[in-house]
Amino acid sequence: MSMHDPSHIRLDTTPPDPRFAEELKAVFWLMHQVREGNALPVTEAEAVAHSLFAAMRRTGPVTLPQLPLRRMAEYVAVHAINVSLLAMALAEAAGVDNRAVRDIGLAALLHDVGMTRVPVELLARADQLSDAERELVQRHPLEGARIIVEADASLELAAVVAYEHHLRPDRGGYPRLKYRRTPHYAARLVQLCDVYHALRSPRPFRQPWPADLTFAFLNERAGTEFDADFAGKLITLIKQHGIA
Amino acid sequence: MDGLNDSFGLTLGNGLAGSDLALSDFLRALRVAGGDASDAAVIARRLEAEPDFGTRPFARLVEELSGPADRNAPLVSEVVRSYGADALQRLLLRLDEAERRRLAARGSKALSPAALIPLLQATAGALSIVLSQPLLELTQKLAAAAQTTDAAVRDRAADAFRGLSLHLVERWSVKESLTKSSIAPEPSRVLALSLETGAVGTVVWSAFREQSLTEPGVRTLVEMVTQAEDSAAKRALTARLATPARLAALLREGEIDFAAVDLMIAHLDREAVGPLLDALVNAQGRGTRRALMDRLVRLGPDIASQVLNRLGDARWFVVRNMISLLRETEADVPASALDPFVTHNDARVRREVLQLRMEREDTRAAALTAAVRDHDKSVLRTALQTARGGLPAAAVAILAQRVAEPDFPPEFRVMSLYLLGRTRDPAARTALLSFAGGGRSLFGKAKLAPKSPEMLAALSGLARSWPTDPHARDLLDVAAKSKDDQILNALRAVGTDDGRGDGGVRGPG
Repeated sequence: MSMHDPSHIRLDTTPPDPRFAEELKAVFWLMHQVREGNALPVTEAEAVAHSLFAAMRRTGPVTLPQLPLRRMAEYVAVHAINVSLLAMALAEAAGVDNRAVRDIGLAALLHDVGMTRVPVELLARADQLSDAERELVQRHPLEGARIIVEADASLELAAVVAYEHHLRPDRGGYPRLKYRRTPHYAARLVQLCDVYHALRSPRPFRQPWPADLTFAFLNERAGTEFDADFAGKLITLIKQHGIA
Repeated sequence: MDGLNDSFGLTLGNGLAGSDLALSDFLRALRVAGGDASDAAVIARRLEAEPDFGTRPFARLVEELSGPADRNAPLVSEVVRSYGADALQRLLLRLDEAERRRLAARGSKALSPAALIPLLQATAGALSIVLSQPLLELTQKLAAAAQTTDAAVRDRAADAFRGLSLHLVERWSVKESLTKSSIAPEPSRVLALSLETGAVGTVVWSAFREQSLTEPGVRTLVEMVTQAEDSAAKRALTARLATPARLAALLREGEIDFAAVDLMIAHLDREAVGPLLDALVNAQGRGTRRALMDRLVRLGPDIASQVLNRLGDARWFVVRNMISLLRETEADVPASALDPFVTHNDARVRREVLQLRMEREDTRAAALTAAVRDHDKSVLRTALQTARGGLPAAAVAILAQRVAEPDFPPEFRVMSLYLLGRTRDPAARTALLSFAGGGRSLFGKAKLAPKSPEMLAALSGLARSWPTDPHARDLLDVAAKSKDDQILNALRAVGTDDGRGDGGVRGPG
């Protein structure tokens, strides 16, 4: 357990999933590249998304694998991969075509890439953030969109999802928009997977939420904070795959 | 020949030599000769040994495949795989860039995953693109999954692998996806994101192009950009948005959005002049015309050449507005360019051109002379107002004559007489005497004309400019004996008339 892993927080003790070693390594590498100020390695991100897409059927019928979070320092990468897998599964359940599923997978993989512009210490903090610090963290959608747009590739959907994944269907959330619009379909989908995975994961400042509490939270806010249709589908999907 | 018989070698040689031989014919010949997938390595080496590395036949082998289900795909895939990345790269380097990309794109769709890896590596190498280690590992992993025996796994992995390969090729070629996802965001959403974050890149330009395909799309975009706060994105989008054609479209709107117009003008500068002039010519309301004129004037005197080109328009108001623009921009226009308009049949044009000329040192005298001759009241008024600064000799004679004519506008007589009273021209004296004097008495004594504003103005002029003239002296002596304060004031007002025509008679101050 590293110094970033508070002793009272329950981390996953299951062994690392060897099926995703390359993907995890690639996501670490690409996040590191961005944090270092380099352009987003788009091709590698695309390769991860394609590989995750393929992995969901690697054992025959569609599966919904989820990587264990064994160290807090792995959170950003594990979160990216797990949200990507959840989002692709949810997209499939919603009936979109393969190409769109992969695009959503890529967008979900990069949805928090803006976090690379937030000081690492803030993300690892166990105590409450000040208003200024919270404001800094809440800039990550804007920073993420910038990183993706400036990567100079055809990542429209990823940019939109990174930017809008904290917007709510009831027009709440952040960032503040100058041009009024409801969140994009894929942003609403990824938002839900993002929240689900974040709640179910241990964070430096709290224990992971149990599944039933998380489902209740999503159900309560379905139709206002979350897309009601996606919320229902995600809960069903998770129960079906027994990853709750 | 590595197990190949002579007839196969001959067939291959013929196939390679016949550059217009279709792949199907070539492969049929191979099969007839006994070649099959197991001979792929031999075919590859044979191709490699050909002059020019067998490049063109190789490219055709790949490009003529219709897809992964093509019955020749396994053999061609084996040929590609047998080459290996290094040899493939040498081969690809003999193709031009477009050919290389075409080959990689076609290969991505039809070749087996095992063949695609060396092809992609070779394409990247030929294009000087470095494939990162994580990417290589992931592609190999996908390729391996695409070759498993489980059909469901294999199909999905192969689909993902081909999708990734196409992404790579597309990124290498145009940096843009050639096909659009079914859930791609609307271009206006991407543009809104760009303006809100200030970020620009390929996605933004792609959205911009799509948004610009329709008039309403452009209108929305212009509105968005106009409302946006200053940022690199706003500046970049405006620069692309601002074209003379788009400005013209904006100016054709029923109610012109001048904030948007100004945004475009700032980027178009001189290129905005044409559309603005077109709009000015067609503008209905005075307010709109003035707003357009203001913007043209702000563009400065450099607009003159384009303005001059419009002077041939038959419509008086167009010509008037163009001359007005030349005047307001203080453009340096050759005098001869405006000569024909001095005698234009519409007084509004004449007034504008004379005003322009009267404002300029080198043409003032001639313009004033022409203007005082003009029978249009507005032209004459302008001339008299301008003449406060001095009346040229040629104009004095004309005004002196006209002021006495019965059809001379009476409201201008007083002002004219004051102006004439400021000169020492004999023609002016005659006019002043005629208005100040009332003939002679039976005893031959000079008489003043009945008191009137004209009489007072003329008397004042005589006192000022002709105090010792014998003809004027008689009248001035009579006036000096008058008990009428206004007459006495007219005599005292010498030197105080400032040419405003308001009666230096009112005294100094």
